[in-house]
Amino acid sequence: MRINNNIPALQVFDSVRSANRLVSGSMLRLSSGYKINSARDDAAGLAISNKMRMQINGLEMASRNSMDGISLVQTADGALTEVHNMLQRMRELAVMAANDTMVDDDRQLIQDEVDQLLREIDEISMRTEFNGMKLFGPKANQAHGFSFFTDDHAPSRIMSGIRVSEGFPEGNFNNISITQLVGPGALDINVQLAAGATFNLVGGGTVPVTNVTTTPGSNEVIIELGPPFDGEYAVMQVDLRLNAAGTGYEIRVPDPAGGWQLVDADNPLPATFPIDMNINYRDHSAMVIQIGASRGMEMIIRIPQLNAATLGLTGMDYTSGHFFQPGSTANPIIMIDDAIAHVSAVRSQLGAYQNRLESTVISLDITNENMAQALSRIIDTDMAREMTFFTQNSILSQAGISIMAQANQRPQQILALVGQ
Amino acid sequence: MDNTNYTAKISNADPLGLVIITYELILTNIAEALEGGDPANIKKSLNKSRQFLADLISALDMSHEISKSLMSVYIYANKLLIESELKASGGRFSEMKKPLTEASTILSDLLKSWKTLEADENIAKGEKIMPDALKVYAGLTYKGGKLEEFVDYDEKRGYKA
Repeated sequence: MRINNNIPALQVFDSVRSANRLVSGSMLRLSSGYKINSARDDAAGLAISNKMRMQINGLEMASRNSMDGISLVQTADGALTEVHNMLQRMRELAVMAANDTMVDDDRQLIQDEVDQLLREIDEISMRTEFNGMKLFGPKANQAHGFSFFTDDHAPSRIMSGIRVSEGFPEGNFNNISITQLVGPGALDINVQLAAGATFNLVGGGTVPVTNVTTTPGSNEVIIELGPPFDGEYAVMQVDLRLNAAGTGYEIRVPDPAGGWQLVDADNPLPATFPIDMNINYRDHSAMVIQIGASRGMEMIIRIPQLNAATLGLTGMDYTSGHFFQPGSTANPIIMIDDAIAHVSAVRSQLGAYQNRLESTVISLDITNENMAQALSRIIDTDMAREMTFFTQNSILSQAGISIMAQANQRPQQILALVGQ
Repeated sequence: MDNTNYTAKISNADPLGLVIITYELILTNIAEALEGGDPANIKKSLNKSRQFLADLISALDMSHEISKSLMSVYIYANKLLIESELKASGGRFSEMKKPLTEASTILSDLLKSWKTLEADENIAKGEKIMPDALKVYAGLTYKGGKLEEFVDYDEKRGYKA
């Protein structure tokens, strides 16, 4: 037997490979842009320049992370704009279908379009990704701590999670309860995880806990909530931790101005309570964005799961008409109004995230706090034209400054991107 | 996109030149996406244009007032690019064109100003950012029926390290 090698092909392959090596080698050297290329050249100089580069890269990376965060938020918002439009169309159709001049055939046509729109909403929810991560889909990364799942209980819109950081006791959840912690912002939470426990919502109303699953040896506890599930969910996160003296617990809620705000330490909690616990009232796990060069400078972004079911829009029947009958619970107009309000709320939350990220980008590389003013956010084409025209002229009128404004750019990044 | 061509240009650019190159790279990628064709390529071009844009943003020195104007325009352009990506991923390429053209217009308008600065000899452009980069001689070599750039690999000993 003779093994036939395709020699010309191998030669070509080999020359391609060496050309690649050459290119990548020169790219590396070009893109390092430093005189010192190896320790042989200048050992001390290399050490110093490496250290400096590490700091610069940290800041640069943080700024890029923030920009990624902005892109993520813009992606979510762009998708929700489409959902918004679809809901508006569904509302139009609902109003149309409520009109008794419609015959059954007409209503069936309307129903068909609505079904199609609902499918599209689900599709957007499944399809919208950022960097391969689904933004509105079920969250896969709920590996730590408690997670509340309500997917199966449509039309619930809220899924909550409790994250336990460490030291959570195995089993024995009967002892765990937080009762009526009252503080600023009308914080009033009641979590009981015993059999037959209920989950009290901030705005009133209770949800029964139907099932608690624990995994021995891990911090993970899954709590399923039963229907009905509706109510306010104004408080997003609560931080409970042992105070410095070890005698009680301190409770903190997010301060609207940033950071955490101490709520009330007068109510000591049972000693069996876990040391460090976060309670999330929303149906989404956190995405952490590193917005500074150092540890701990992070921002958490939460995007809820959004689809036809979580918007409470499944099983909408347009064919019967008579939507305004008193007591009718399946009135599409009302259901859609609720859904629109919910999408609007999520979008305004996204807007808040973007504000925060933008001011982060602005203040990252400057020490002067006053500079961290909000940007003027461009919202439409006209404004964009205006702002562009203004900026065009500013570039020309402040030539020297303009060049300096954009001068932090480094060829290495661009070279790396071009090479991809 | 001809990478070698850009590599030489980039490594020999002064700060303003680099800004202009970055704009051109963004606009080239947008134009490629607008041409249509393979959805995967469209997505790649859009993604790339966004990465170059992100580079412009992270390079802004926020201690200058003009940086904020630039940033709001960039962030809006970023939004338009993302909108295009969303339309493209939904397979609606005809709808993708509007935001994409808009982004292209905005950035081309800004580019005009940068190019005006570049053409003005009275303005200090700053030093070449990579002083020890390889020298490029344009139009000195003749190969395969066209004039080529020649990159001098021998001159810099540092690169042999």
